[in-house]
Parts: sequence; structure tokens; C-alpha cells
Amino acid sequence: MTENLAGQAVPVPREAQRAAARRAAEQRSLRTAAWSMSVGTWQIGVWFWAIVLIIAGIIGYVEVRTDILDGSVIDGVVSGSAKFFLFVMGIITPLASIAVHVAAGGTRRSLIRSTWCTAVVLGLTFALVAAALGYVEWLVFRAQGWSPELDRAQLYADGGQVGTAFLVQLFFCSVYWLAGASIGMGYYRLGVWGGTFAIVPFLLPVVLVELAFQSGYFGRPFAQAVGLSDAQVLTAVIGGLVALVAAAFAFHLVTRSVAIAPVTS
Amino acid sequence: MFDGPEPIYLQIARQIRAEILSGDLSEEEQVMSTTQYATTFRINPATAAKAFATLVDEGVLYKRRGVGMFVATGAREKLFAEHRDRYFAEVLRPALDQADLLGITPAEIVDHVLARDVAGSVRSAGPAATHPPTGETS
Amino acid sequence: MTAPTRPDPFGVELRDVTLSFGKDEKHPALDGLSLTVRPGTITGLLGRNGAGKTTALSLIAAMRRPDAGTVLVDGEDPFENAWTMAGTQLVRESGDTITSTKVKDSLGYYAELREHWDADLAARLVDLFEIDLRKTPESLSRGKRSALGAVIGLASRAPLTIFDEVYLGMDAPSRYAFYDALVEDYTEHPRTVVLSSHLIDEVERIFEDVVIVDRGRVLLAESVESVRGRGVSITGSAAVVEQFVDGHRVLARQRLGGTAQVTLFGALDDAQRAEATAAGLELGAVPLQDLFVHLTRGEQP
Repeated sequence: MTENLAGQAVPVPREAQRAAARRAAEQRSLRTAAWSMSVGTWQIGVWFWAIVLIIAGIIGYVEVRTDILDGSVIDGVVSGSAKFFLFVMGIITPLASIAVHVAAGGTRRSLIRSTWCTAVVLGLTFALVAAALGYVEWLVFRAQGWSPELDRAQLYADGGQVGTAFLVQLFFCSVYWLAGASIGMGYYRLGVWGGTFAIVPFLLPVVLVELAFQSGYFGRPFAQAVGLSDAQVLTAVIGGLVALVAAAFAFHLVTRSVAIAPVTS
Repeated sequence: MFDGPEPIYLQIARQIRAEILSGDLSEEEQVMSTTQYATTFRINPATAAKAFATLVDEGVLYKRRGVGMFVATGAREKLFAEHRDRYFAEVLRPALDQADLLGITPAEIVDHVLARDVAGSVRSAGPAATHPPTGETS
Repeated sequence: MTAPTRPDPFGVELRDVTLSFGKDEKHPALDGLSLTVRPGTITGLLGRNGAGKTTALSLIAAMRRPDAGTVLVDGEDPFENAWTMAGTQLVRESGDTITSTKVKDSLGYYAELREHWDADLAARLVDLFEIDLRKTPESLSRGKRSALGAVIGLASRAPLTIFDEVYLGMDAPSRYAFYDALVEDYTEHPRTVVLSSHLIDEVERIFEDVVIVDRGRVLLAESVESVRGRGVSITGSAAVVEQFVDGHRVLARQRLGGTAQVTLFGALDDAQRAEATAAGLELGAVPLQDLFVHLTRGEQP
């Protein structure tokens, strides 16, 4: 009884300290990994955007000179490639970080959470750039009297609908990044054969987000095939959220207890 | 250094004793710290600490809290006395046993010792100038 | 926030730990391995290549989980444990780095994650080992990569720091520089250090405890002083030697004409020593390296 009273008067310092230290360590490793992966992807991302702009510029110039310009150039290039760029970076980046992360004392849990955070950060920033470029193009096209329409039907008709354009790119970029991360980690954990078979379930969130947002290349025909072509933005966002959660959960499953082999070079 | 079969801490203790006997370390002089010993000779600090603890137990060194280890007053005298005792027990006794075994008589030994003493009398200049017994140098 | 105080050195305990890779259950990497590392010591983990050293250390650092058995670091299961992982630094061979970016980036990652990272020490060691921070880890020579691992291990100042064969790639001057830096930093910032190796002569004197691992099991675990007393070599006339060693565990035999030298395992008591001396036999010490080689050599009789 007296022990209990004494225990209440003086809080158990050791366990409390440890709990605080655990929280601090988790936060530190989450912050470090998220920052490192976001910056790492953007360092290459700058080149990606530069190249995309140059290609769009060349295509636009040729189309104007040959008089075949019939809609947005930026949109085709961006929606066709930003998410794929992030898909590839998603395969590489968490995989390159995990050994150093765990060796530096970070948990897999904090790496998983930082990968989720990075997916959102990259989704937001890439979508912002994509929407901004689309909007600028739309302004220019309108001023020049060219048709700013998108040549592939989407949830929005032209780059003037900045908000919708942003939303679409946000979900695509985040889900593609996470799906890439799962596939990369799948190979790391399951080897060549297991990793290859695991691609199929890991791509399900991609299928879902394509269905929901109907990107130009295969999302639209796909959605039409299953009778979802008239989906509205709200339905799309719900589908996108489900896809995002599924992709995040898949990455959690494949990473949470992965064995870390030594880095050899 | 420290290659023999003996535990390293005993070798260190022996070395410090030898330095005190030879006068390289004088009484009330500070000896190297555990850290200095460990880094200089690339040994585990616990080993050096164990050597010091042995010497503190023997009354050869003493610890000044927060400052370090010092050679105790009277340490040299004490070591001399100990080594002289040990000379008879550990050096002379086996030699005499061996002599018994070989049938060398005490008279022969005494003659030998006296003859050697005459030859070496120039060198005997009292205990202060004597070097530590040969068994003690490493 | 108050300045973080460094936690006390971590102890380690492995109990009946088993781990097989793939389906090869007949030859497990760890076969009921049990060992203890006392907090605050420098412990040598000795074993031949493939003895299970790296695997055991991977479990301690939460790189993987055992099939069976208990792993405890500072009294807790280390797997996905934010406390023990943040306090454990395992350096495997050349250290885990981001191979494709500059060395500086990897060191930066450790500096961010390791609460007690000493940037000054890291800079001094990088200078000492002449590591080019602008290169990528994969473009460094093997020696420099090993040195990079040494820098990571020392500068992390983790309560449990493990070097798994880190210094094997270094040349002799670098190795000695590493030993010096290790002893110096350890005396100033006490922590638990585990050094794994099969090269023992150079590091033996740094150890306080020794654990010898062979084929996934622990052969011997005790203080280095008592291990040094474990082996004894007996030299003399062959017949006398053979008579004396009868009933003892013989690790090695050598003969040269009528003279034999036999290495025994197990300390002799004073009576036995006296008996040997009386019989005209010469007793000698067995260096730890030799003892290790004898104990772990091929199939045992």
C-alpha cells in the first residue's frame, strides 16, 4: 500500500523515460527518412520536369508550325509520365534507404510511415507542378486562340480546371509511388520469383485509381468496359482514397518484418 | 609487449613494480591513468584498472580521488623487502634443491659464492644502488 | 527539451537461438546458440567464416528474427524495438550505406538518426582514414569502405556498438589506427562493444570477454584472462609427454624426433604443474589465436 502511494507520488522514471525516448527516436527516424526520400526523388524530379517541358515544347512547336495543334500538349506529356516517373522512383527509393535506415537504428515501422508521408508529399508537389503547368498552358492557348481541350477525356475538360487537375494528379502520383515501393520491397523480400508473382496484387491499387480517375491511356477505356465511365469527382475521390489506403497497407505488409541483408558493393 | 603466458594485468603490475624499484617512478609520483595506459599499450582499460587495483591492495599505489594514482610513500622499501624474501624462497631454494640432487655440497657452494664475491666486490655499493632482482625485469 | 543523457551500456542475451536460411534445416546457421555479453565490456566474438557470427549479430541489431529462441538487448526483444534499435549500432563489413549517392549523404543519415552522433569525431576519423566524402561508397576501395564502417561505428556512440569483421579490409596502419581510436573513445565514452573476427592476435588485448562460436553454437564464453589460461602446451621426451597427457583433452600433437609437443585444453592445477616439472616437461602458454584454431578446426575427435 505504501509502495503504491510512493509510486504515485514519484512517477516511475525509467519506463517513462524509455517511452519518451522511443517516441523521440521514432519521430526522428520518420522525419529523416521522409525528408531524405522526398528530397532524393525531387533531385531527380527536377530533371524529369525539365525534360518533360522540353519535350512538350518541341511537340508544341512542331504542332504549331505544321498546324496540327488540336489540344493540350502538357496534359498528354504530364499525365502520361509523372506517375510513371514516381512509380519507378517508388521502386528504387525506399529500397535504397531501408538498409541504412535500420542500420542507423530506425525501425521498419518508421520507414513505412515515412514512405506513406513521402507518397503524400510527392503527390502534392508533383500534382501542384502538373496543375500549374496545365493552367499556364491553358492561359497561353486561350490568349493565342488555340483549342485548350484535352485530347483524352478525363474528369476535367481543360487545364483551366486547376483544382480537379490537381486532385487527379495527386491520387495518381501517390498511389503509383506506393505501388512501386511495394513492388521493389516485394523483390527484396521474396526474391525474383516471389517478387514477380507479387506484382499482380501490388498493382491492384493502381487498377483501382485508374478506374476511379480514368486517366487518358487506359483508365478511360477500362472504366467504360466496366460501366463506370460516368463517374463523378466525388466517386473518384472515394475510389482514390480506397486505392491509396490499399497501396499503403500493401507496403506495410511487405515491409514490416523484412530481413535486412548487408549492403554490399 | 605483454606476450607471455601470464595474465596481462599481472604483467602490468610487475612492470610498475620494476619501475618503482629501479627508481624510474619515485614515491608520491603520479602514475599513468587507466585511460593513458589503455591507449598507450592498446589494451582493455579494465585490464589496466585491474593491475592498479592489485597494486593498491598491495599498498604500492594509492588513489587520490579525482586526481589519479600515486606511488605510496615507503613503496620502494616495501618492494625491496618483499623481493629479498622472495629471492630466498623462489630463486635460491630451487637452486639449492637442484644442488642436492646433483650431490653438490654446501661447502662447494659457499666456496663458489665467496670466490664470486671477491671478483664482484667492486660493484657492491649498498642496496640503494642495486638494481631489482633479475627475476623482476620484464 | 533537455539535453539527452546517454543511456547506460546495453547488455545482450541470446538463449537457445535457432535460425535456418531457406529449407536447409539440417545445417542451421544458428543451432541452439546461447551467449551473454556483459554491459560495458569489449567482447570478442570469434569464429571461422560461416560459424554464425554475422547471423547472431544481425539478430541483436534487429536485422532479422530468429526461428526459435530468445534475443534480449538491454532486457528487451530488439525486433522493431525503437529503444534498443536506436541504441544499437551494427557495422557489417563496410557498413550499411546508400551506395549510389555520396558518402557524405550516408554519414548525414546516420548523423540525423543517431541521437549521440559526434560530428567532430566523425570528421577527425574521416581525415585520419583519408576518406573522400564526395565519392560514392561503391567507388571507394575496400579498405576505405571498411574505414567508413569504422567511422560510422565509433561516431554513433551507441550504448551497444558492434563491429562485424569491420577491420578485415583495412591495411595494417589503418587497423592499428582503428584499434587506437576504439580504445580511446571507449575509455572516454564507456559502452558495450562487440568485435567479431577470426584474426585474433591484434585485437586480443582489447577484449575483456571472449565468445567462440563454431557451427552455430557457442564453444566457449569467458573472460579473456581465463581463456588464456585454458590452453597449455607440454614439451618433452615423447614417451613422458604421452604418459602425462593421458586422460587430458588433447587439441594438437607435434613430434620432432624423440621430442613431442602436445597442446592440452583445460588448465592444470598446481599439483599437476609440479608433477610435470618434476618429470622434466616444459610447460608453455597457448596463444588465444592457436587455441581458437585448435578448437574450431575441422571435425573434432
